[in-house]
Amino acid sequence: MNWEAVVFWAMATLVLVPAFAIVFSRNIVHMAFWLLGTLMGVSGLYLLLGADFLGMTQIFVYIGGINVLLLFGIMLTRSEPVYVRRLAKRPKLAPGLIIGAFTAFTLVSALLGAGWRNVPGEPTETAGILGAFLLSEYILPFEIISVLLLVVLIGAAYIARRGSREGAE
Amino acid sequence: MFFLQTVAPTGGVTSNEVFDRYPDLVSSIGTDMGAFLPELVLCLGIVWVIFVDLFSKRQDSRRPGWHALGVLGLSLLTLVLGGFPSAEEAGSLFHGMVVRDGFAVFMKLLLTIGTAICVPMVMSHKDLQGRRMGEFYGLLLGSLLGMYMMASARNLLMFFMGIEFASYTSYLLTGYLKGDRKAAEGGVKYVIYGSVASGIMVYGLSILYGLTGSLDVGAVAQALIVTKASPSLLIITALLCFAGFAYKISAFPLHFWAPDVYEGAPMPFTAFLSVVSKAAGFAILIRFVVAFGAPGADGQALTLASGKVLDLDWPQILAVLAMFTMTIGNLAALWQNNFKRLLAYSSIAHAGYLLMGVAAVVPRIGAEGDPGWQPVLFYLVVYLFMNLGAFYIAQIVAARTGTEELPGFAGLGKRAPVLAVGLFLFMISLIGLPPTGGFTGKWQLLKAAWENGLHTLVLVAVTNTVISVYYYARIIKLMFLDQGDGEGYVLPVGQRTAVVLMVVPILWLGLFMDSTVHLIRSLSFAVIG
Repeated sequence: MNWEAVVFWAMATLVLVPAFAIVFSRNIVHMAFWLLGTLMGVSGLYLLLGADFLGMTQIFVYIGGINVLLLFGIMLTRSEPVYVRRLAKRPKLAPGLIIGAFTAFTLVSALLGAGWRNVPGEPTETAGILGAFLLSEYILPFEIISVLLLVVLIGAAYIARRGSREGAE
Repeated sequence: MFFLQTVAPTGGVTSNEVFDRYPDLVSSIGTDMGAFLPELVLCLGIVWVIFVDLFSKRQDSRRPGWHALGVLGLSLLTLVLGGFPSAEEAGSLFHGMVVRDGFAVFMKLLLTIGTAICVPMVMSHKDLQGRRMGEFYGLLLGSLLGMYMMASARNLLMFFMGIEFASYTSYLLTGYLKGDRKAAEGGVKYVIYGSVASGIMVYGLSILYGLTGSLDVGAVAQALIVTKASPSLLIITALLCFAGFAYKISAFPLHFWAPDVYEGAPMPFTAFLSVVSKAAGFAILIRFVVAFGAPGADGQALTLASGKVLDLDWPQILAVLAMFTMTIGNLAALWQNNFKRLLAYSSIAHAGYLLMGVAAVVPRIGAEGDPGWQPVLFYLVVYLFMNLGAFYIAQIVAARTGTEELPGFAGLGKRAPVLAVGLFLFMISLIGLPPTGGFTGKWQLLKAAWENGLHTLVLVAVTNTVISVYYYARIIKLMFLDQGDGEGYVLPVGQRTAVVLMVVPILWLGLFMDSTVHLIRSLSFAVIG
């Protein structure tokens, strides 16, 4: 077993174990923290595959942004711990199993039949190439998005501002 | 129209070359900036109006409006000074992201003029007085910037971004009156329906990318011919993409958002949505249809937009959609009592007439010679003035009577003859009767459809015109034959001038249409091949 396999299995465990924990946990704050592990694991898999930029973006956006937002959402709305209530009636097992098996079959057969190829050579770093593209061939969309973000930010600030009816700020 | 000019697809730089070719790639950006001045003016203008607003008193809510007008004027000036690029000058900018051709400049001029007419309406609107308006104008200019992108996009990425840019700003402006329940309802509905429509469109665009591995419209079109993708998949893809455009032009089956949004939005913005936004939607639809109908490498027209695929006839699909759009719009308009809702349904009906023009042209794309977009563009010009004029007068009346319902117009002929006569002419034009631009415009659309064999569609359109007489004439009857209460009033000089300024183009286009027709015919159109 070479080091890549070791890292892969470690990352896969990091994705799967918290994923199960999220499903079986009942405390919503615990769920949000378990999600952190899954997202870290996915990011690690990206990095392992040589997608350095994608891996770091995953950390920035999902862990730095979305996960923190989730926790903030919980913190600002509820003061006491939130528990997910179990259904009073036991859910039916058969339809769930059939749909689950069907989905699993589709995914597995698609993955096995995809005809994967090995990319020859060492993976190169992508951040530099992406940066060069963003500042040359894709400069217009890149800059227009920044204007769009600015405009939407202004609009969001306006909508969120207090005291609208009299036009006060 | 048009002098077709083939523009080579961009190089498609591979990731191995990007560092070596980087200096070349960057050096062209500077020269492209010169042709990008109108957009740059708008970008700076967005920040400028908000900046001005910071340094003015709240009671002074008109001041950013004047500055917004200045920005629009400057943008208009740069457009005019740039002129209409001839067929030889037409080309693409920023490595094939946007095109610069006569069609794009023409549409940008139209969009800018439409926005410039809406700004004074905003400045005089009752509910928008005495509040901070910098954000409103900033968003309005932003929306226009997005529509500039829609008019000139040639990369699927820019198609999507242009539509999203124009949409986000529109959502925010619809709900600008925050305390108002109807505005909130309209804004929320607009966001939800709009996101769904964009989502469907992105799905279509992503299939195109998946099939061809490129985002450049020209490269996609060429690759589709070479790869011979399954026709049924192409039809589905085209329909998915069409969802996004249909939403912007409020065509069947994505028209249902229009009445609630139009009713909830502040009147000047309703006018903006019904005219400027719709014109941008048609610009991008035309751009898309032409790109995928351009002659391929072996001279055969692409099946995505033109010609028959399976047993489905793409022009026929468009024709059926046009039929449904105009009929639904007109029938629903019959029952409306709110002026904004009435014009909302009327604008759906007009989207149907315009779509008829598109359906008539589609089979001729890719053939030799002028495919004949001219009726559609001409009608957009007429529609701009007549619809904005109707909204402008309605806003003045609503401010006086305090209601946007139709009975507010009763007896207007006695109370304010100038307004009544102006609105009468706009209604005549919306019906499509001489001597107005509405007549010449609709006549050209019907003629184009008839000559291209869409006889059923023409009959449906004529029937629809007859139906529409009922609800337009109802307003005319209210104004001149019914008794209304309320004092007569004398219009301020500014308003009177504005009404006259809107009426003149309608009559001009109705009586002397040749110069405009000639201008539109001479526009260049960059076909990507």
